Formats: sequence, structure tokens, C-alpha cells
Amino acid sequence: MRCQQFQDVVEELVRPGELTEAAMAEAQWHAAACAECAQRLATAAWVASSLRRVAEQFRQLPAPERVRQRLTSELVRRRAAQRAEFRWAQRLAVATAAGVVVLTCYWAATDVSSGRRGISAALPAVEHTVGSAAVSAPLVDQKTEYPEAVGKLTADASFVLLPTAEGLLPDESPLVVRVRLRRDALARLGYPVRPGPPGEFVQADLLVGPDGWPYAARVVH
Amino acid sequence: MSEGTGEQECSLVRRVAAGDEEAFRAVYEAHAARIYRYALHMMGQADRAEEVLQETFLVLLRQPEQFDPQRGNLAQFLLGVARNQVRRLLQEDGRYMELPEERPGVPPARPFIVSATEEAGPWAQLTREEAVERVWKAIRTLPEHYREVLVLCELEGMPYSEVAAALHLPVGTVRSRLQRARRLLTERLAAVLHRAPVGLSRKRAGG
Repeated sequence: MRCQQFQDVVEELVRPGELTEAAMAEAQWHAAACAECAQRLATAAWVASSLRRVAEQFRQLPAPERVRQRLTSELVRRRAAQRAEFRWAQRLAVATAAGVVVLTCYWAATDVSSGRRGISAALPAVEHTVGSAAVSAPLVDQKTEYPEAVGKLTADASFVLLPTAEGLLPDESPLVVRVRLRRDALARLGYPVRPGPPGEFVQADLLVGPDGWPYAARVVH
Repeated sequence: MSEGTGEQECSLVRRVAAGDEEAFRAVYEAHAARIYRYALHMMGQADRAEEVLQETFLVLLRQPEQFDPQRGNLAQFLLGVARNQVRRLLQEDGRYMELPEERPGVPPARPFIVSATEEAGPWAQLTREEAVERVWKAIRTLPEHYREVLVLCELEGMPYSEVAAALHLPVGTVRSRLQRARRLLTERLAAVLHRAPVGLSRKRAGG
């Protein structure tokens, strides 16, 4: 072995298990015969030993507690922010759903599409409110029980069935929409209005079915 | 890495990102000390090492999707993040040094051999604490690429394969860098210990 070759392996020589038995023997034989390489070996051994001491000393070192506390605070802050964002998203979803319901009722009350009996697309845009009907009994098939259906619609029997109720299935929870419309428009729905100026506006409650069409009405005085 | 371990670590990271303090505590206790020691060896300053540690775990909190168990385990991921943080800070400090061989056309420097006339080593006069301090300071004078493999292999005791995975290097590159790091460290320490040039002879390697 020459000095250059010894220099290439001296660092491994001082670390157990990094050289083969044969390579170790050759290197040690060379160090025994070469003073310069023996010095290199001693220096390398000292450095390796010191590195082990450095490793031992630092291995006891824990991670700083204040860093853990700062990170935990950040974790808590982010969790709170995520929850606030989720609650905001929930409220937005509820508000959107409510808006859809209002718009649906508005569409059902004003009826901008043509083709349904007696309902004109020229009905004016009306004020409306949304509520749930205090219906104590479901609707019945008015083909056979038309005269009696009125009394069964509401507790106070104030609603009048409209012709559009024909064939309607029993409705457990009809939607009530309060509208303001012209007298003649209410008449065209089939409601028996009292005589008066046709252009006069009246306020009425409409029972709206699942298809969006009113099937019963009452004038609100 | 086994699929089970990868899934467990993925689940743990998701829980940490969702704000689970218990999961965070488990990850921190398992990995923070090593990250801190690595940063301390690389930066040489406790406050900078704390900064590296904090930024590393903030990446885990804020960008958990960056952890991919297919590319390595959580320890390797965190070490990789810490490594990037160290590099960033060293560059900010102007202390990042590229290896000579990274510059095209520049051959690697041939080491000097320092021979001493004294039979007994000068290190014999140092106390154990002084020896540790000298070696630790000398480590920080190494170029970053050598320093990090020396820190991970020698001081942290990580096997070559794990270091290679953490640094995204072939095992052979890790071995060769470690060998050079050791030689460079020994030469620098020998130069300091022998107090060159008085009473010493210097000659180029190759004899």
C-alpha cells in the first residue's frame, strides 16, 4: 500500500466496520512502517473520537419548549379559523336555500309561464309572504267531495278551492303565499270575487301545491 | 416504507392539519429534537436553529399536502424541509458556499498533508470540552454539502440509505461526500492543532 492509498482509507480505518478485514490489515501494516501515515492515523482517530463525543453531547439536547408552545398556539389559532370559516359557509348555504325558496314561491305566485288554465302571465308582480298553512286535514279528491273539501282545507274553512285543484293529490303541508293582485286576475283564477272595480288591487292568500300552482285562495280583509 | 406506516403517518399529518393537538404533540416529540440538532450543527447558532425548527413545522401545519408517503417517511420529509430552510438562511446570511466541483471546469482541490515533528499529538493538551468545541467549530467551516452529510451520518448516526433518501441523493454520493467531509475536517483540525507553518513541513498528497 502506498501513502496516497492509505490516505484514502484512513478515515474508514478508524471507524469500526467500514473496511474489510483484509483492507484493515493492509492499512495497519502500512501505518506501522510509515511515520507520516502513522501520524495521519493518530490524527484521524482523534477526530473520529471527538466526533463521537460531540454526538453524545448534543444527543441529550431537547427541542426548545418555547418553539413547541408557539407552534401549538398557531395550531389552535388555525383550528379556530377553520371552524369559523365552516360556520360562515353553513350560514351562507342556509341563506342561499332560503333565497331559493322565496324565489320559487315568487315564481309560483306570479306565474310567468303560460299554458295553465285561467292564469295569465300578465299578473302583476305582487308582494308576497311565505308561511306554512295551518292545515288540520289533508286535501281530498274534490271530484267526488268538492263541496265538502272547502270545509276540510283549513280550520276556519276560509279557503276556496280553485278549478286548478282538480285532480290534485292530498297535500299534507301546503305552502301559503300572500299576494296582492288585481280583482279581475283573482277572478280569472276561479275565485268567486265580489263585484267591484276590475283594476282594484286585493290582498289574498294562495295555497300553492307542489307543482307551484295555487289551488285554493281566500281574500284577506 | 410499508404501506401501513405510510397510511399511519398520512393520518397523523391530516390530524395535525385539522388542529389535533395530541397528533401534533406526537409528531413534535418524535422528530423535533433531531431537526433542532441538525439545524444547530448547520447554523451554529441556537436562535437560527430555532427558526429552522419553527419554520419546518409550520410547513407541516400550513401545507400538509406536501407530505407524500410514496417519496419517503415523515422523518425524511421534515429533514428535507429543514434542509431547505437552512439553505435559505445560509444564503440570506451570505454563508452558502457551493462545492468547488460544482463550478464547471474547476478541478477539486488536492489536499495538503501536514506533518508534525512532535511525536505526541498536540490534541493531548486539550481538555475534553475544548476538543468538543474545536471539532464543532471546525464542522461549521465545512462547505454545506459536506457538513450536512457529516452531521447526519456522524453526529446523528443515520445510515447511508436514510441519509440518501432524506437528501434525495444516491447512496454512493453520500458515501463519497462523507469521505471528503471527514478528510477535510481532519485536515483543518490538524492544521489548527499543529499551528502551521512553524516547525512543520507541507507537501502535496501523492507520496
